[in-house]
Amino acid sequence: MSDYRFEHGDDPLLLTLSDPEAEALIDLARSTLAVVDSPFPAAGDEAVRSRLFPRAYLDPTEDAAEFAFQATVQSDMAQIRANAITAFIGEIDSGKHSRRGVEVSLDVDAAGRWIGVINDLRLTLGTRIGVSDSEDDPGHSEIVGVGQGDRAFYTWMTYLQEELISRLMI
Amino acid sequence: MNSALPVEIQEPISDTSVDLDRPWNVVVWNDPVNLMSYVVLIFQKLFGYSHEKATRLMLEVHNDGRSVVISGRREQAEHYVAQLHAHGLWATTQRDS
Repeated sequence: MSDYRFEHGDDPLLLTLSDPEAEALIDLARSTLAVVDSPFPAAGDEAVRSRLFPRAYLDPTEDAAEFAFQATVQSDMAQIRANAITAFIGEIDSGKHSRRGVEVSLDVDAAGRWIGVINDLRLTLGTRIGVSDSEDDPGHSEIVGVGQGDRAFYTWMTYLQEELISRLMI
Repeated sequence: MNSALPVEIQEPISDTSVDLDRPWNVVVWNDPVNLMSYVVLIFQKLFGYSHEKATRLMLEVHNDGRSVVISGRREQAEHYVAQLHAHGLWATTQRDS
């Protein structure tokens, strides 16, 4: 997997994705969007849905409050998430193509949105591949049978998110 | 029985007043996906905490598995839980014990 890089400058941030990286991000974003858009996701993605929209109350005696909470916030939350993911896909799609791949220009607001969307994508893929250890040490994995491609992509997204956070917090 | 006579009303024995005084805690749980730096960023963004306080709470989550990050009325707690969920953090609320 090729590198990404940032070009120096005050603003905006210029992010260069290789074509395979851009395609992989868009594919994962679209499949995450499908989970966000449906309260009843495709078989196998129930855990992803539960992770993106977890319970507010662990106490089973608060099930009525939990139901009211989900009824009140879930639709709005899903819409906000869907809007952010859709904007993310559009920004990659409309990026400038060059020999190095796709160049995406991000202002501060877009960079902040990307950090949130990439977090959702990492939650989706991380849940699917069963991440259970701290990914601060991506080389440490107890997962058996997970494709190296998924593992490498997850790790790459971790670095990308970390880099965007560090740039935003400067 | 003369209904005009004043009667002493027996107050029910309840700890309701005590319960109402107990705040609702917002608990953030450790998660293998969310980055430490991301959690700090979200605590600062949502609660206006200093970097130092946000980092201390993040480390509680990381080391102890959970941390009470803010407390308040139930409605406030639900609001913050929803905000944390919207940012991908695993948060719940429960009455202070």
